[in-house]
Amino acid sequence: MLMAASLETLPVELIAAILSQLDIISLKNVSTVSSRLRAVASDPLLNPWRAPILHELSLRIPDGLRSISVLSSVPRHNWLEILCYASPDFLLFQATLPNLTESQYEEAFRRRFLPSWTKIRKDGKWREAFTKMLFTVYHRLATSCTTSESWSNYMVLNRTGSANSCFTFSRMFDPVAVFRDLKVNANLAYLDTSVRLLFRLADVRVIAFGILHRPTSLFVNHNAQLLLNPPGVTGPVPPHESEDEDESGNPPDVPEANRPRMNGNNAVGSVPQNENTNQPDTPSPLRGFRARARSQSFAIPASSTNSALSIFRTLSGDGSAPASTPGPRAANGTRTDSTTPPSSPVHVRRNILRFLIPGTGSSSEASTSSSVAPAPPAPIARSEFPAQSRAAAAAPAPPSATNSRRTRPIQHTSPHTTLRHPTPHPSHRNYPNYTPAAGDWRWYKEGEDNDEPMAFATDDKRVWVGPMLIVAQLYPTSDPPGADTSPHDLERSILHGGRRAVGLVLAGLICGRRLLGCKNESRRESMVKD
Amino acid sequence: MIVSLVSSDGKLYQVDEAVARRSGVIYTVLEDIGNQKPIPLLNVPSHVLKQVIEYCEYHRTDPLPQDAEWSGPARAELVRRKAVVSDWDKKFIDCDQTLLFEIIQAASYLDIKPLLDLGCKTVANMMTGKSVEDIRALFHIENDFTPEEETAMQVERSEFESLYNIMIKSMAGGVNAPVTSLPIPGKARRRLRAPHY
Repeated sequence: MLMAASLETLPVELIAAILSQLDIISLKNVSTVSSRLRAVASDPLLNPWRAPILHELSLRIPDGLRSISVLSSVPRHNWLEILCYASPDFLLFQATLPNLTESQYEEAFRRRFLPSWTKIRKDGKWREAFTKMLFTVYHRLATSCTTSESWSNYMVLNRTGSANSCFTFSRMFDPVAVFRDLKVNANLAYLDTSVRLLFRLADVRVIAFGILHRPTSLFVNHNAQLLLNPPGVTGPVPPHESEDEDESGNPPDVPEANRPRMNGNNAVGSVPQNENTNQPDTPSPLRGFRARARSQSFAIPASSTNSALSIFRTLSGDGSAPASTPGPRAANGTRTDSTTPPSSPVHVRRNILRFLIPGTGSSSEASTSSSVAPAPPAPIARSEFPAQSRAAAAAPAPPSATNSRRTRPIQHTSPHTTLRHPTPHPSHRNYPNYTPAAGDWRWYKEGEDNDEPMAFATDDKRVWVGPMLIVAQLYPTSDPPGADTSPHDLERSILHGGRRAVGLVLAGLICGRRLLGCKNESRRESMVKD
Repeated sequence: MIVSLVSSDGKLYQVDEAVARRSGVIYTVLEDIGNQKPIPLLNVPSHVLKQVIEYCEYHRTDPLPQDAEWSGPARAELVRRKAVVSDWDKKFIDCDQTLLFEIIQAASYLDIKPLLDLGCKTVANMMTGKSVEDIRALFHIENDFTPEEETAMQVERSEFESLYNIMIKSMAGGVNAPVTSLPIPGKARRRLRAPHY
């Protein structure tokens, strides 16, 4: 029998769950009600401050965070989150920053800014470097000054497999014009330019200019394909596909909860500490969860098995390359990757990845066990393939063995290690893996119907051809009014913004003023009005 | 299929399997052991179990919460914070404090995350906007701080409020408040005067 329940008698986890629903001011009040509540509020592990702080950071004007530095009950590590995600003007001119250690400032610097920007530190302190850099970003977002960085750097990925790092004078830099020249040189000037948002950090977004064309083209750029569509990761699931899978794709004998799923890392989340925690896939009521980011099942044609097998044999000492067996899903042709030649470096890298990272690429069991949820293959323990039974392992497995594998709990990992330094913006928090329900538009390919906000890669078999130009662009931390809400808007605003091309550089990678387009102009205009 | 649940005080409740599976614990039990024997819920008394079953009955057709939506990182909590509580839920959770905390504990024990979230939200709403004394009176909490701790917290609180109020006042004109709204020293003020032509 439970004792008479009251707020004070609840377990600390439940008290923390309640406190995390409060706003900053109320939480400050509650933390001074009693010593137990104060202990819960100031516990760095329970940390009920985190949710209210993130909520405040999602607002345009985080009023509640202005003076929380004076509260001793706020665990100091919450400031890392604030330093990473708050806007530069808030941190510089509105917030009262606490006394953090040099290592905390270093971590904040590395999480917020591009690695090459550390050059601003020189021999100084990290706190100074952080503030200087923040001010530079604020200055560059508000003005067209290029005094501190006269040269812009951009990258060109060539279809031959090489990459060029190019410099240009910032004031003259217009990536659209540069890419037009590249297209002319590649004899592809008759094709349209496509623009994709690669990923976004707190103050910077990285944009790729490329050309989409049919997969039979002679100019396919495999590096561009790899960059925008990393192997092992697929983009959003088309609604019709997921519906079909719901109705017909589930084998009736497999409990829904036992189907392979990705962990929460890929679905939602911005917490680096928590995100890498893999949860065991035990049967649970959370069977409704359908990860939208998932590893891809590749069907490798028979002609390609030689290269795949040789890699598997070389790396694992095991002749039974599961990738060589096309699963039923591949047989249905629902998710075959026919865009790249089987002997291409893409396939080779995929096969390596499949071996090195469990949960990447295809395997027969992944294909058979799930057609709905992500299909990362179960990591196969070496003990399952004893050396003396190599021949047996190479032989086709009996159906019963396949079935028994279906119901085995599967440990899942993300196909790729999530980028942490620098930490991506919440809209790209899982980069290079797919981030659902946000601005991860790497898989977008213009559909036939432009009214459709999102066309999926499966609807469009075009691939990246010719050169690809990559630039970084300063972009406000919180989306300005009229921000791009779809990849189509992004492309239109960049290619047809009609703004004057003015260079903008910030140490290393950077951007053209033209890329800022109307967003930054409107921001500047609003500031002038104010 | 019917599932039998036994409360901590020995009362037997028979519910539909779809209703019982709203609970993560019962779901796991049904998956692992099967539905052969009544499932004992040792930490849930009958009057609380009745309420929990009522909640699950009402929400039996709701989609189950997504994995990452509930147990995922804190970013997901933002989504939960903004979730609207339905009228039925408001009525359901409008009960006395003891029962409310018992429901929260039962929801935590049975792993019914929407109910747990509803309970936590309700308690949080009761606290929001109230002073420290009001919260103590509402939840019957004694002030167990020493006078020194009390003084230190008072200083901290006044410092926070003064800083907060200064900031709010300075921001009264919007995000980019005019410079003249801030206290400006005399020399600087003279410099800001419009020039005479």
